[in-house]
Amino acid sequence: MADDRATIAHVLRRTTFGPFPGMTEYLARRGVDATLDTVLAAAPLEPVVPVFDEDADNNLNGPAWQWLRLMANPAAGVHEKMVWFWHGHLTSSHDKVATWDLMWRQHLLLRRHALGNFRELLRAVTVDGAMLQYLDGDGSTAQSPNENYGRELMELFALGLGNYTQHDVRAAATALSGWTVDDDGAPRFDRSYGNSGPVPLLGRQVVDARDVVDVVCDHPACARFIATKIHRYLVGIDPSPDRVGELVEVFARANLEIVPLVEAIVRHPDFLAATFTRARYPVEWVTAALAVCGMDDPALAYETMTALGQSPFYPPNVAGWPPGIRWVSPSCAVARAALAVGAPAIPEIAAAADPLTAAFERAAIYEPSITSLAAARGLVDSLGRHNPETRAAAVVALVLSTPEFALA
Amino acid sequence: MTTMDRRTLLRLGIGTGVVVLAGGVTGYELTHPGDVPATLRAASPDRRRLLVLEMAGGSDGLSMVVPYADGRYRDLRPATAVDAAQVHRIDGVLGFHPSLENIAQQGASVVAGVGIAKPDLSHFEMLHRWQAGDPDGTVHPDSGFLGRLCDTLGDPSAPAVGVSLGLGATQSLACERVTTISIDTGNEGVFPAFGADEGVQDAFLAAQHAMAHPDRADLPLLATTRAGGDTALRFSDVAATLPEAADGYPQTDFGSQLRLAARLLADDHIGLRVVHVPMDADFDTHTDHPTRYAILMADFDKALAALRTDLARRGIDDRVLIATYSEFGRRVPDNGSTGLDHGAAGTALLMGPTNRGVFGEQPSLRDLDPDDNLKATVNMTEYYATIAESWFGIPAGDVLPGSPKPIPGVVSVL
Repeated sequence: MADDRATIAHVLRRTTFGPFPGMTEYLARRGVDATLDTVLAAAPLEPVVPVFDEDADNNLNGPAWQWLRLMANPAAGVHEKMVWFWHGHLTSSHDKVATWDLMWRQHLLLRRHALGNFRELLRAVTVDGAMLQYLDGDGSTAQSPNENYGRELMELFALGLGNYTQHDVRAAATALSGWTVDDDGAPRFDRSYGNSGPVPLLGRQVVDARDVVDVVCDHPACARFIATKIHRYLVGIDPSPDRVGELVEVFARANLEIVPLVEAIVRHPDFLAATFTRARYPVEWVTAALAVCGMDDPALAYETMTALGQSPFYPPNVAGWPPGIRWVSPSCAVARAALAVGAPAIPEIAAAADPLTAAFERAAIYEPSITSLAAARGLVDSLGRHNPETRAAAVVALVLSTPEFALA
Repeated sequence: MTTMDRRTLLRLGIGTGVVVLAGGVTGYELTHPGDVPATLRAASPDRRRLLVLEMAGGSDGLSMVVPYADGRYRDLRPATAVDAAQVHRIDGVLGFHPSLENIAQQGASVVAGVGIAKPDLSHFEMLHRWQAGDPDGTVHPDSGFLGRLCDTLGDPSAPAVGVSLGLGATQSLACERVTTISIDTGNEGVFPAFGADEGVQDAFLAAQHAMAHPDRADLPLLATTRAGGDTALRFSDVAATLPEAADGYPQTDFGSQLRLAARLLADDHIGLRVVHVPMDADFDTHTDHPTRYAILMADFDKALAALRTDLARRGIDDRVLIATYSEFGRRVPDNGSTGLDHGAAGTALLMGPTNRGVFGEQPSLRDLDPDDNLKATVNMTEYYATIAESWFGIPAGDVLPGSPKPIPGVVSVL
């Protein structure tokens, strides 16, 4: 039972923004495979239309908070997790994009295609209003094309460094030209500023944006690049060369449909075995931590994510939020503790015969390390003369500060 | 690669006025424009510290230090050239951006044409190479250039030999022997307390410390995370005792970073030698370059002026070398969007106890590379060698690939 719960908690950490209290125990009755079925089959959530207030990032009904509510929804599955992935991959930031309206339209685009077809996703985002503004396609002309989107499309969105030349960047920029974003936020193509003759890109001839996306998606590096990055996101480590080959075949055979790729990744033994191989991203950590606290506080959530260096709709640059150990660095330990020390006295834990186990299980840590467990026990013991509520709050605060909880 | 040609040597003498030896520590008087501050003599090597300003996004060297007298500059940049009448002239060829009033007055060593032999146009590739000190992207060190300086200079028992004022670990301070840390200017690295009762607070902190002890059963990432907690707690213990903050900084992210940097640089308890400031500003000016760059430079200038005044008041301006870098400069011709695309060689500034003037050689605007970018005249490693060898006395070959030579005459050690 304990082993199964730990495995199910691992699946939920990687495929949702939980696990939320009680969910692991509920799914443990059905098993690991059924858990995977559940998160894969979960229906996409429908956001309510946010209020666009340009003066307030901390708007209760604003885009960021509406999104955080969906992440915190226990009904969310892999779809919600992939919406977050695509935001960090096909990036745009409200720092540069003029309006929330444009950011939200892009968000809806990512939701629509999150588990759809990669080629269609890339087509759509290439001429999305927010993207046109973010990477300077807006106003770029064939006469003097802006290279920004053409380069990042190949370097960061679809192929990776080393698979194209500066000539390809210029060709892509030329073929991508002619687009603007009008005053209502609608993308427009103006033939008179766009490209009209064929230009050579990656060994083929292209004229317009659709051609560019096709040539890029047909390039052999594309399926490899995307499959590797999604593997890294879900499994936490790079796939072995053999494994990349398998995933590329699955993805290419499915004509770049995303669902078969995701299924192939999470239904493989590598996925279940890869525990503690990546840090929880701040959005993941904060959403899970607030659920452990039983708190619905999007203001605190947003503030903590920002302190940790990850504000939704504000990626730091076009490469999105980097993976790696930066999220478990000392500065993150301090920022996480700032939320953790506000943990409330949860009645079930205060009343529990064994508040220690109750707190760890509420955080879905079923096999804590000896050191973390001993530290928590020492805390409970040293607070023996304090009331159960203080002990309960303190032990939850410590559990949220454990290295175990910091990892996905 | 570095060519101390006749023109450069002339600039050293003529362009900087007279190189005066300062008799002790001199505070810069901001109130007397027109006075040329005497060159400050560097403190003894064991007391020297380094402040590195990372201008990520690709800062345009030709806008920071403008070749205002070159007609070719105006021809290639009809939409983005800086007005020659507005620049703060360094010599007959180059001048500081109009927003760099204080730097023009307080002085800087300008290193023009810094770059690498075969430039890449990717931000991330180039920033990585700068942070790693790996100019050609062939060595792939686990450490960063600043981290290697810390390893050479620092004490393994010190709470922090290098501090980065940004969120999350940075490659630049990655090291093997000593401790380096990133801290958030918001909390200044101080660990939050649990509850209001002192006894409870102590018990909670003790439990945090207990949890940060190494656990031999930890998987690698778990061990890294636990060690991160330990580093944070050790730094937090000393962070509360940093010298007081000074006034006069602009209310910007960069201003806050530099205000904290001064306190760290003035501290004698944490064993610190290097502070790294990743600027949050966006130098990636593909569009609307003139307006955006002027705003960027104004903040840069004001915050740096406040810092240099602060360091002088604390009597430590002779101990601190301030060095800038950006992953690349920008394309020489305009891009048609009133902006500039990714380029190659850029311009770096060294400030503090350095000789004023232009070092290295301004790349020619008539001999661009095939992508219309500036060709480097000073290699990244020669720039870094100046910091390692001339400032810290560390043989460049110990911390950099190849056998780079420092740029002569920059650091004022007379």
